[in-house]
Amino acid sequence: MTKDDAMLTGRYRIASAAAVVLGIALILLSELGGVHEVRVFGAGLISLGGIGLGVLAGLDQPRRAEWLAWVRDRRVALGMIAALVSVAPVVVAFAAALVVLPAAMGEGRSGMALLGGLIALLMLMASVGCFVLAVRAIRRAARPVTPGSPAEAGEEAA
Amino acid sequence: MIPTREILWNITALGPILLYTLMAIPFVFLAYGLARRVRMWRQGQPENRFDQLGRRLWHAILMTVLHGRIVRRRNRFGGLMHLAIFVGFVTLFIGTVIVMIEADITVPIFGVSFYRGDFYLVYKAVMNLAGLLLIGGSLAALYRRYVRRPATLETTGDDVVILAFLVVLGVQGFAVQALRMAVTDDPWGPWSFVSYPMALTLSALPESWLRAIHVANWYIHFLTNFVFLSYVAYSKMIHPFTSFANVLFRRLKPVGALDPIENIEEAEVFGAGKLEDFTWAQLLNVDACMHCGRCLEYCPTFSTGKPLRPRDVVLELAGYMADRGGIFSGELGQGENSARYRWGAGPDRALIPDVVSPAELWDCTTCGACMAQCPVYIEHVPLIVGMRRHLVLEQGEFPEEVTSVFTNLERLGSPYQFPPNQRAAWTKRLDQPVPEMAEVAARGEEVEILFWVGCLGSFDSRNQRTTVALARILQAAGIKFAILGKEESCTGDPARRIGNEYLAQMMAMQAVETLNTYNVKKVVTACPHCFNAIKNEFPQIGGNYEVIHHSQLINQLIAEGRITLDPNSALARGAVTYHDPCYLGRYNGEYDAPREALAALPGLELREMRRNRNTSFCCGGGGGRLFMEETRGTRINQARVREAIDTGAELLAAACPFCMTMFEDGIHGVGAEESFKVLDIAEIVAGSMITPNGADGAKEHGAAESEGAAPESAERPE
Ligand code: SF4
Ligand code: SF4
Repeated sequence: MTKDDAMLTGRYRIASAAAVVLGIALILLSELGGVHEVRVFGAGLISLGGIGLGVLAGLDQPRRAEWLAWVRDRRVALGMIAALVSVAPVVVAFAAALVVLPAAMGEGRSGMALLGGLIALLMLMASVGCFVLAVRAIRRAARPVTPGSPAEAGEEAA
Repeated sequence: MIPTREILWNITALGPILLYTLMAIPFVFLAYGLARRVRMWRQGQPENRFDQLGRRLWHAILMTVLHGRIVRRRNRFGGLMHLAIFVGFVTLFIGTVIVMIEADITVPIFGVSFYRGDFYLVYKAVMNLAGLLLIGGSLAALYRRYVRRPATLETTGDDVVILAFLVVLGVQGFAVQALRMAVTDDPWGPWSFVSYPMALTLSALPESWLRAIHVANWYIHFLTNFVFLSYVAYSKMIHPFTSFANVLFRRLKPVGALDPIENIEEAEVFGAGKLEDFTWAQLLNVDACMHCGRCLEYCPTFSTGKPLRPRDVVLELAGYMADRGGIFSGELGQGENSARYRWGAGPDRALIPDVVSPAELWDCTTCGACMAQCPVYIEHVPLIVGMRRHLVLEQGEFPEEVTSVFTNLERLGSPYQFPPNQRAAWTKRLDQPVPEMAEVAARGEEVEILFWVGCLGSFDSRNQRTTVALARILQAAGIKFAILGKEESCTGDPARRIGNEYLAQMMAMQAVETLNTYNVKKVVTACPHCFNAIKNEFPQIGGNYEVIHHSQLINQLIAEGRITLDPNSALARGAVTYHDPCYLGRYNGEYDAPREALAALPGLELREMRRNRNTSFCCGGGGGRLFMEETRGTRINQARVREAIDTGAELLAAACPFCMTMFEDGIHGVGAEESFKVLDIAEIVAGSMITPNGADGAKEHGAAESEGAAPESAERPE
């Protein structure tokens, strides 16, 4: 990268970061000041600024990012927490629906309520099933990679 | 009352503040991951793939958005499943954008609301349907991976995490909607036909509980969306972007033409020994793989238990590129790989043999079945041949058996150890002489067509019979033709596919020079490899001719009544099955002419093999494999012969000398010499032809020769 390129990239980076900051300010103005007209501009600036920052970092020379290494080292724990957090509220909602199903059926439209209970049960099963599969997959992906090279595999097959 | 709903119901100002400010995070991650990939592709060699942009764009939309190659008759379950996920996801995304337009643009800025009335009701129904499609499609995908798993499908952690994400996102959407309706007692609830019954059930809960659970689900729903979007660029989920880009920038040249090494005399790099040696479009190619495994379905090496699996070659390259390009943090340590990287090679290892093994490279028959199946137009053969070129030209590494092929090609102009002056020896078996171009030119005459005999047709004793049969047909039809005789040389096809591009170019140039000396306009050949090279590769070096395969010419002669067939001929009876040669069918799209020629003999009953036309199963002889030992897995030619025998036919019709050699060998291998035979289309037609003197030709061709002596298999070059 030439000096000029580096300078230009630096400027783009500052502009992108500024867009994000300005966007956040507009969102605060919109929600706290009740000026909802500016919300879309805030959202737009945040998106564009985010894209700009991402693209500039992505096109840059690879370099070691300590925080990413930190994330990678804890990816199993983070993955499991994320899986749990994303599933917990729906599990609570559908479990609650099943608990109150008898009461709901007693309030008239019992057929519909029963159907609702059935759908909730299916969704609950899907959510829990996916949680279990995802946790297993995350744990499996964290195992050390398969030792050996394709050359050895070729010889085995021969 | 006008149907509508309150957007951001039950959400305080904190909700939109967090929603919009945190939005920067997924955008940064997505843009970073995509830009990283673009950076990696740009390290490849230049190649112009920016021509015909309109055609490219339309094709990309057709093949990816409209699922042109994804939903196929043979892959209906997988294709429809993918379509359901795609339509569900995209519709829900558009639905979210519509709500944002209402809430953030039209209402606050223009004071106009469109999210109401009939539009709102239809919107609700469509979104519920989309949610069902997303969840149903994703669950079907999990079912396919865990319960009904095809042998070609391999499940990584990444696949499961993505599907789990999609299911949970869909379920969360329904939960949020049902919880809101349970409190608001929405009179238009039934339009949300999935959430509505759940809302009725949930309405038995106290309102404060419903509100609390709703808020929790709302926040977690948008956070899950953000985490998912952040994950997209580092997982298989990148494929909607890369697949679209790959189809957009796909190669538009004939699929049968390999790109030459330009200016080979001056070149410093031969083939691909490093990632940077591939073109940028090839690097994009390997990044576009969506792990569907369709390229394995008809791959002869996968089916016969060899190490080469085209999908894995692509994924090995993609994983290696991710490591090298620092797709995660820049400098990943050894073994810190993406989910797709199978071998744990790490960025510092050599492309060959650490990432892709020579065994994988040498097993490929270049049959093209992988490319014909790949829904996103990944081109495996050029990748493999590129790496072969590196092995041959830079490392001097190739299977031992190939040494003599190279030597013979260099010295004698054919893979076999026969002198050029024996090329026309077969003509002695004909009653009428076959002129050579040199004589014709010396007489100042011209011929209608040049018969390009090919090396196997000239020197291999079994294939000489096909050559003789074709010459008889041409003579019977009164076609004025000639051969090149000792001036003919190899087209360079085997050398090129083996990776000896230098030798291939030498052979091709020599052939083009000869053809151009005689001002040849039209060429017929019985060899699909020669056909493909002359038709698709010779134009690269100034050789432009009308090229016709013998099955096409024969079919035409029958249709025009220029040859007459005897329906009672000994050869024209019973059940026959036809094998589509890869270089005629898949590479050049000719499936009908040979079948029509066979259909002209009413006594023959054509029975199709399970794998036919563009799913035809290779004979095992292409890509130079004819000249190599098959040491890994089971034998490809025997697998195909068994498939042919399973049709109940007694005769296998071939249209390629490579296939002929492989099948003769295969028939011996399975011990079916007594009950099953292989004949070329030309032999069947010539053997059923009523010759000018009125005699049936069957005895002269297949009937006598094949039924009598045991067929000779092709000799390997000395
Ligand atoms: S060209 Fe044929 S043998 Fe080679 S990888 Fe593709 S399907 Fe397999
Ligand atoms: S290379 Fe093509 S066919 Fe093979 S797994 Fe990848 S996307 Fe599917």
